[in-house]
Amino acid sequence: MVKCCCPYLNRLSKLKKYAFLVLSVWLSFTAQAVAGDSLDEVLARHVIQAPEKIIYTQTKYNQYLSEPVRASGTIYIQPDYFVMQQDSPLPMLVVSNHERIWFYDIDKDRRYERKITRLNQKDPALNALITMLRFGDIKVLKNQFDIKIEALDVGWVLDMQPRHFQSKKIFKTMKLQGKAGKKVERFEIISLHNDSTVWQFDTRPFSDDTAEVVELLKQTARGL
Amino acid sequence: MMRYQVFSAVLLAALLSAVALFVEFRTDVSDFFFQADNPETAMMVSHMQTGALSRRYLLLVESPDEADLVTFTQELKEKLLTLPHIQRVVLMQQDEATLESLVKDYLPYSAALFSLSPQEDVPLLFSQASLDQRSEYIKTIILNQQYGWLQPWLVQDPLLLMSDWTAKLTGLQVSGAPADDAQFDNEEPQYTGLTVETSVSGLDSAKQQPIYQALSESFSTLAASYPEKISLRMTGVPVFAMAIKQQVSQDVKRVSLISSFLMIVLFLVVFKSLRGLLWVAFILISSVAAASLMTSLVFGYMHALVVAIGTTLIGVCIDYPIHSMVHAAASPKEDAEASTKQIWPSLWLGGLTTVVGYVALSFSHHPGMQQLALFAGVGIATSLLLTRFMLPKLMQAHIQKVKVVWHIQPWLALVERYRKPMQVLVLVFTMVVVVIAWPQFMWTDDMGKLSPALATLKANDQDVRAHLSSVEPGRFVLVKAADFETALQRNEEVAKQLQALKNAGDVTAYYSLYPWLASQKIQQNNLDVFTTQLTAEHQRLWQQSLQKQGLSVEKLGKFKAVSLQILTPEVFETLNSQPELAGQYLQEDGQALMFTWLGMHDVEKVKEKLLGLQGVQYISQKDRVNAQAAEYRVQTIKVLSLGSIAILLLLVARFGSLVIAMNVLFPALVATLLVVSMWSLLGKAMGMLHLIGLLLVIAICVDYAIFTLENRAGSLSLTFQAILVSSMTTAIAFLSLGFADNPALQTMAWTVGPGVLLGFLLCPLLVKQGHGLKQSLKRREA
Repeated sequence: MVKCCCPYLNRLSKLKKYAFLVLSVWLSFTAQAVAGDSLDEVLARHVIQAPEKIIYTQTKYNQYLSEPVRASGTIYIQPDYFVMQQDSPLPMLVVSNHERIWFYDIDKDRRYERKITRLNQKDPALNALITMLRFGDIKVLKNQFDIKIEALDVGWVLDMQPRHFQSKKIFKTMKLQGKAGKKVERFEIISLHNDSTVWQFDTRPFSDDTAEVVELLKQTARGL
Repeated sequence: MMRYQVFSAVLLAALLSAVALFVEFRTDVSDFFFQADNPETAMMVSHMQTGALSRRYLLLVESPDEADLVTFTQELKEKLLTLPHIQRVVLMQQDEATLESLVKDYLPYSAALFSLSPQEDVPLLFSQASLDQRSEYIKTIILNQQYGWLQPWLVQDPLLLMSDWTAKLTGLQVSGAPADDAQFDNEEPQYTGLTVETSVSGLDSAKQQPIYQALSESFSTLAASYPEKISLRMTGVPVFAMAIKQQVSQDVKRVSLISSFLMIVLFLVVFKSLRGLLWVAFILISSVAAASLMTSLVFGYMHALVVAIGTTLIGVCIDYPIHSMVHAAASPKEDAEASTKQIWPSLWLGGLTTVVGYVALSFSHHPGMQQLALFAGVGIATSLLLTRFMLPKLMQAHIQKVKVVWHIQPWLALVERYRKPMQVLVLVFTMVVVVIAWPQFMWTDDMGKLSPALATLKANDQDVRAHLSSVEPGRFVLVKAADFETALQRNEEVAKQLQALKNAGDVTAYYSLYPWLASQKIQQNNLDVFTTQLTAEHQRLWQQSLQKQGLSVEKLGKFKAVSLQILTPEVFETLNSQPELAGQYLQEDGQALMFTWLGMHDVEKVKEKLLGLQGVQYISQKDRVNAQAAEYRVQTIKVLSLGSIAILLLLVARFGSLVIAMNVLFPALVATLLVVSMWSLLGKAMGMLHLIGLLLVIAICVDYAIFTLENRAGSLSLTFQAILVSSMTTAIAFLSLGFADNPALQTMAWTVGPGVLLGFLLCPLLVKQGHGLKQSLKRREA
């Protein structure tokens, strides 16, 4: 029986991973950039005005994988909640508000829950993202990242490189990309070993029916 | 006379200075009760007293906001490491950096340390199911962003053997971290812990005090910068040692204050003289100082308990100067020298019988009793000599001002009038009480009951340990061998047995030197089996498993990357990542000792499982100390019986009559029986300290009986006046101890105090005058 080197860390990491992704994606959607915008203007425009529904695909490229691993599902974003429903390869549900994150492994019917603040404390970059999302504090984000914006006629690219050792151990850079005046369509995280994870997003309308579905998903993840 | 006063002052100052300069005091109870009877035990005792475990503080940090805890403890760790005398700080939840350091250090040896049963376990590793599971796990790591730090190691450890090694360490994860997935659904614990190891002995309270303060201050300063309230609870040997020292110090202050006040009042009332108090104090302090010096000279150190108990024993010494003072004050010629000389034979006989009792104690193998015997012997001898040769000189110029105003005439008159009926009444009463009390008599060998109560501290200790560590303090498995390699091999046998018990649920956890280090033999066995298993066929199976998971065969599919190195003890000593091992092995004087700490466990099952393993012992410090205490009790009762016979023979030799000698012992016997009955009726178990107290009761009562019988002043009234005053001072001295918190002092108080008062009342009643005593004494003195 193979065991993780530290079971506690193993479980914690599972949640950290999702917390990180959740918040990164959340950020990418809250920062709606327009060509020609300054960085501050792009980041300041992060507050969500209306709920979003996004179909996503996630592709992981890794030197130890013989071919990329793909996942897909739907993301629902609300001002106070983030819901990610992954359909393949493994069905799972991740729900988060600003304080807690719930993870539901549908196949195994197992639920995990953590305070999100704890996970953030261990990762200053993640913490900076949260602070910016919650309070619009761009300074904190700039302390943690070297951020460059490239505004083109056809679109924009946001390049974020972690400044601190702790975060650099997790990833080398994050790239957010979108068409001019449009929302983020591509989000890439490049690891220290040049492995990467790429997210592609396709925004759909958020109807009343969708709102009901989201409420149901929230309750399911929390086991209510 | 002035020169005697100057001489007394100089003598006192010299003795006290010598004590301050040369006497080493120890406070560890094991020094008092535990004797290392062989080099191995000596090594172990020394290790337990000064080893890493005794130098550790356990810190439990609690906060309503668990997010704060993670960063707080990390910051606290960094801050504490900057403090002097802090050697190591280990966090309850090992962080990634620690794990990475472990992986880096141990990766080359993961095959050599793979299993304690390589013949069975290594072939299992290469089964298709196991390989599939392993490749699935590798994929999990690769897909998990947080395991980025593990990825570079995959090239060197494609089979992920390192995870098998680190999984064995999960026992080191202190409780508080979830034990399995099921618990993960619950709320996280809102606490965490740190182990802080210092570089000075945990029993050295003087040096630990500033460390403790620095720890507390560092915590408070840091906690103040956090919004949520963060609280700290600490435990550990240093915390207990400091609390005991503080309690003893408070006891000393309280008892000294109360007894000093009562003594001053008594001397003012009885003698109408404070100068008399100074004379008695001079003799008492000089006796204690001389006894301390001699004990330290013979044993090399002095136990604080010997000082505490011994000083009360010397309380008997104040009887001698008081007798001398009462007789001198009543002397018609006011000749202190003559009156002291007159009662001197009774004084030295009383002193001699007391010393004989305590000399008998020294024949027990109890190290504390041996110290106590020497201490009491020297103290009593010093007191007698000072009473005989210094006190009359000091008293002479002032004796006319000393008047004794207390009398015992009513009691004497009552005894004179109703002697026979009262004797019958006392004897019947004693017999009835003894018959009623006997079935309720209880004896305890539990030495823990002598330790200061510290109930709050003990409850806190249990609670903190329940949160942070599952180790049962004071219980462990000891492995010994002539060399390190053999000890390691034996230790591995122990680990195998304990693992079996753990699997069966009879042991919750055990903390062994394996897998941090294994014997060269088992490591070579692992490598030999790996060499036979790392075949082309198994490599093909492994590559199939990798392909099933979509993993790169090119990167992970080659067995040649598996490291086959042995970890030698020399290299092991140089590794950075072995913080948990401090104090778990010892090698000196041609012997190697290894300790395996145990979590909650079934004692009998552990003992049974380890039975027959060579060089392996299950140790319970408490059981060991109590077993030794039981042995001491048997020895002590034996030597006390012999001591009583010696006292009897001494009295027979002195009085030339067995009847008279028995009569002298009789009040002591009745007083002792009544005190034992009192403890039984109160439902309290008696122990070693009660025995010591009873010995003192016998000694004092025999003294009173001798004074009564010999009646050297020729006036029973005067003799009883002296006994009255001395018994009052002794009773005050001992009953003052009843105000102490220390159970040892309480025991002495409520054993000796009532015993002395009973002896005082019984002597005039039960000691028969006459017996042809005068003729007998004259004949013998001639």
